[in-house]
Amino acid sequence: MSTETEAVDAPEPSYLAATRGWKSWLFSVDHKRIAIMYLVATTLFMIAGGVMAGLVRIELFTAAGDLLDADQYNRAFTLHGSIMVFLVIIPAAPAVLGNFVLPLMLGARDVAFPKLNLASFHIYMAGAALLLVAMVLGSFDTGWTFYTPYSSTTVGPVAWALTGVFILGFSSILTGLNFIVTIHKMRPPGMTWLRLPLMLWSIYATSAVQILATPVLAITVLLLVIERAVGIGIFDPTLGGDPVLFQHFFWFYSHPAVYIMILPAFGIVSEMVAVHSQRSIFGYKGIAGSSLAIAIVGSLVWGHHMFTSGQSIYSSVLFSFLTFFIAVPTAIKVFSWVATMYKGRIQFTPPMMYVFSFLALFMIGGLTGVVLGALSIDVHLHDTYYVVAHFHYVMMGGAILTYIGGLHHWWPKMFGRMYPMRLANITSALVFISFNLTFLPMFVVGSRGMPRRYYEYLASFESLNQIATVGAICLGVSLFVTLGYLIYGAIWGEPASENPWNAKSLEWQTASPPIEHNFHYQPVVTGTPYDYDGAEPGQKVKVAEASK
Amino acid sequence: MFDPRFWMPESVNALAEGTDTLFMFILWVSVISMVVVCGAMIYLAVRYRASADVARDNPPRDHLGLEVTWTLIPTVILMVIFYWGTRDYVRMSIPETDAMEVRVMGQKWFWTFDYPEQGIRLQATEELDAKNVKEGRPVGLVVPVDTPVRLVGSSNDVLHSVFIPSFRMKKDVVPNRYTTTGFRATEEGVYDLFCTEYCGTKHSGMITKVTVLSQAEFASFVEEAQEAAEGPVDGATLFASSGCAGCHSVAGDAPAGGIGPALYDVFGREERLTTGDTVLVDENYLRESIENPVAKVVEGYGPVMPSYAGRLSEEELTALIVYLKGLGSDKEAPI
Amino acid sequence: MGATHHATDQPEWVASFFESAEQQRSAASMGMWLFLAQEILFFSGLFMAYIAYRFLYPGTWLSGAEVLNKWMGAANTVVLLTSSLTMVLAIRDLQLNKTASSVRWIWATVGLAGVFLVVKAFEYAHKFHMGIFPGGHYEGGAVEGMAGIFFGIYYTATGLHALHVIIGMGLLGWLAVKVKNGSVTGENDVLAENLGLYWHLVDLVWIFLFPMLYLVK
Ligand code: HEA
Ligand code: HEA
Ligand code: HEC
Ligand code: CUA
Ligand SMILES: [Cu+2]
Repeated sequence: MSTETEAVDAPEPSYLAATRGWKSWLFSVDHKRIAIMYLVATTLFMIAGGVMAGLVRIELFTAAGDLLDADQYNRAFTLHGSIMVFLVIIPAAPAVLGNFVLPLMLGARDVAFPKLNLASFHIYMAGAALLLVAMVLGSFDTGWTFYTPYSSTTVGPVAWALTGVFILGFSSILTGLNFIVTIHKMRPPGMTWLRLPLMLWSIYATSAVQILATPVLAITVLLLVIERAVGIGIFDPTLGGDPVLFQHFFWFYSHPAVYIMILPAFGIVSEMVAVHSQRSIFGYKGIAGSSLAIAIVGSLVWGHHMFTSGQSIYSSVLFSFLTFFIAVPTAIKVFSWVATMYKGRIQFTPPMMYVFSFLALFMIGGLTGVVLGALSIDVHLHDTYYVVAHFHYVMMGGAILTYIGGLHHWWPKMFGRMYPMRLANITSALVFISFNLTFLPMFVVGSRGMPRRYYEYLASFESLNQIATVGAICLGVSLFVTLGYLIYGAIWGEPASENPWNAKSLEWQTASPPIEHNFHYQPVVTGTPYDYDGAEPGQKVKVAEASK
Repeated sequence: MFDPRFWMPESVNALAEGTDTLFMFILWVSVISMVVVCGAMIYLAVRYRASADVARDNPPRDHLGLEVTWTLIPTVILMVIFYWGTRDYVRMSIPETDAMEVRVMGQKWFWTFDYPEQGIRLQATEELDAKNVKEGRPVGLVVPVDTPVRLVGSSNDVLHSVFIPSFRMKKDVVPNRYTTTGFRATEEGVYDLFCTEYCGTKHSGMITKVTVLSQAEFASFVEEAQEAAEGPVDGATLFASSGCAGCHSVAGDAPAGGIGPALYDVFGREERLTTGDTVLVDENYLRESIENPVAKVVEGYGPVMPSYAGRLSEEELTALIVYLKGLGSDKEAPI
Repeated sequence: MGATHHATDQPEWVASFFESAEQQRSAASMGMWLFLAQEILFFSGLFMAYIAYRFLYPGTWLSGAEVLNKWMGAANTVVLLTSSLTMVLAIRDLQLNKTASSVRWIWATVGLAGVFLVVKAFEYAHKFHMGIFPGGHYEGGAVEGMAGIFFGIYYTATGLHALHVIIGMGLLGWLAVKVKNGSVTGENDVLAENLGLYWHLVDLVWIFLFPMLYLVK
């Protein structure tokens, strides 16, 4: 029992129990409840996106187009990509884990604008609803990249989907805005910038990217909607419009967006590797700084998606050059995480398992990104399955799996209960294996020349595709098991103590699950969130004399 | 796995040599970095596992020397990769002078190759390719060996992309602007050509071959083609070669639906339009349907048919219309 | 909520999760600045499209600008600048606790915004009359080249800006009410300041659009 729960006579109810009824959830301005609502929503959408992936993979089991017809297939992968990107991976880490831990780690009672936070969630649901409408109206077949002029001419409810994306964009902007202000203005005494947990640094960088890049996506899709509605001609070649301009607009957002996806994962790994190695993080400044470096350089490399699009050679060369610089700050992080294990006291807990799997998978994803960054090679690999494999390694293997690992790390704090550890360890291994089974073969078919977005392909690619399909099924199953035991743990699991991992940051120094207002007392911060060697007082929640 | 052939088909493009070597170089860099990072990870995980009692006194929180090293080493390697990739890319993108020009035109969902110097046009549709294979004629894009070729691409509707894996070559074709690239084939043979820019329903069907002939064979091939071009234009062949067959069935028992209406017996039939009113299919309507398809869109279909205005000569148009009229009335058997 | 949550000497308009009025105020205004940043980036997308096509079709852009009515544009610029001024006065009076006149200034701002929209409406009407429609519907003939795109951008940009003006009018009306019934006051004036900032942004965007579309030679 902690000093602080003794301090108050009648222990306060947790945020879960504080109030009852669905209204108390849907309209709650408590960042923790909003996080849980995001958790439920994103998980459901992830399953939906996964089902679409399933359809895609089963169709590709044979070289001939049999299960689906061409148009259905095109809709399947478009939905898969759009759902996974706009409804799952962009909100997942920031809006679920970010929302939950940001004020707790910071030592604040809530985010700066709780009402705005709730609004973001409602806006998010509205955007999702529009995508749903688009699905019901026969769905859209543009690919998640919405390239013009195909997207401006194809028949179907594309405008609904685009409006959905537009609205989702604003949800993401407002969340980012909220978080940045929170980190600037809600820090308790002594929480200097260099004492922020690294999770908060990466959330900060993520939010910055969200605010700087997303508006451009908003105007882009808006222009496309208007183009389809009244034909203003901006993207219509028959009126002199320039189709490639759209690609610049789109990637100006969507490359930075990939760092919206991965930066939170970097933060999660930083926390998990330190806590589960029971040792202060190595190279704090390097990791924090590189997050910002990535956020900045990351917004200058969008052209690497357009090496074959007909953009000028000079811009291609420039973009390729900048692309390689992205790899450097990332390298710094990777090495620092590994170094953090040195002289640690490594616990083989599920979160640590996900750290291991992250390092391996993200390395593969990142290094193949470097391959794609090399101009001459990208000419060969562009729009082949090599690219598909690359971005699944970074998005699914890097971002999503780490997000799931983060859930394992903070689950006891979120629900005050533990999930079955051994099962979790075994499943994490299964996920890792089946993931590679799914996506490693794609590198090979890709470099051998199999283009993406093909619903029937040359027979010579068949065997490798069958391995991938089998892998995908195993992957789906293992993820369902994961979901299963997490839910089980949240409801029937062992009650978890305040600080089951013996972590040092503030969120572990209040009840699990936390009380509605997070802390009884104003936290005071006198050191870093990683002092396992007890060198300095660290970050504590002070017991106010008042209550004695 | 460390043999380029495992990853990629034989490279037969003189301009692209270097690509594979760079690919293998980065592969090695990657393998080494993987071994270093994951190796270190596993070693540390075992050595410092919680149960082990090893010296853990004052673990370092940072180490400037180390951090600088692992910042610089990747930077250097990456700069090497950048230089290498860029050099080869520029070589590919600026085709050799005195190259033979071929104009590639992408259109839903087939390719047209124009040879301005030879004054011939080749087309690649599923039907035509099959026909050529059957009759043992060269398929798809036909080029001479050891001759620099400049591809000038454009599109008639949406984005497409010419991708020839064996040439390590890819270029989008874009409506309303020209994109150029080039190659020099070093081996005679037949290679795959894919469309790699998503373009709708038959994106994955928009594939054909590149046939590389010896200089002599190519010369005679060109002559044949030129004679054929002189000769009378035959509607049936045009229908196959212009990609019509890709969307329109001409079989009597064609099932309803499909991308475009079945054209069996089209002449003289009453056609309901999306606007609701109906038209009688006569020569003028047929002509309009080909030159400006979106003007009158048949009910139950999208406005996806590209315009052929300017793509077909006057006599070709008439030949097509004659052919279409013939359909159904047993004068002319559908191909 | 915990006993020690906030010091009792806080005015009631400070939310429970803030330590002090100062913290709340600075948070609110930083939030607004970030919001404005993203607004600017939003419009910058349009500016980029404008610039890209200006390079592609300089001729069209020149003759396009010719067609636009400079005088109406200029008039509107003056109107908006004045409205920014009245907004500043409104906030000053609010801080001097001259509530009544503050409210008057706010309504003045709303009024000027209205004038702006009327003028814009006349401009649009005139163009439609000349058959100047965006994109494929263009049938004006007055402009050579890719007129459709020029006016496509023109209508989108000015339309989005007008939308911001309308939203602004709504917000300012709401503010006027809150000031009148005393829920926004001299010391709790952050809402007024933020809406002021928003209004200056709307003004600023026009300051960019006007020369870009009407004047640039
Ligand atoms: C989470 C998302 C994410 C992340 C983090 C990345 C990271 C990177 N990506 Fe990726 N990318 C995508 C998501 C992502 N990407 C998506 C979705 C697409 C396709 C979109 C579509 O077309 O549908 C794409 C496509 C894509 C392309 C275009 C391919 C094409 O279409 O032709 C390119 C080309 O440059 C690229 C490059 C990179 C690079 C250089 C990185 C770097 O940031 C990686 C840096 C990391 C490392 C390099 C590993 C760690 C480094 C070390 C351990 C040091 C040792 C390394 C060396 C010595 C080199 N990506
Ligand atoms: C976050 C992003 C994300 C994720 C996670 C995935 C996951 C998967 N993707 Fe996807 N994919 C994309 C983003 C993603 N993809 C994008 C952007 C494209 C490009 C689309 C385009 O070209 O336009 C694409 C395209 C794409 C293709 C190429 C289609 C084509 O080009 O023709 C293929 C083919 O195999 C594929 C397969 C898969 C598979 C098998 C998975 C599997 O990993 C799926 C695993 C199963 C699930 C995820 C469901 C089960 C989940 C749960 C039970 C929830 C668990 C939750 C908790 C524990 C909280 N994807
Ligand atoms: C990309 C697919 C596509 C291609 C290629 C195509 N068409 Fe069509 N065509 C359609 C569609 C869809 C329609 C129905 C909608 C419409 O009328 O525009 C159509 C309509 C027609 C009609 C009117 C049919 C009717 O029942 O009234 C004729 C005639 C026609 N096409 C002839 C041709 C000819 C000749 C060619 C080749 C030179 C051709 N089409 C190539 C898709 C195509
Ligand atoms: Cu043409 Cu894909
Ligand atoms: Cu990118």
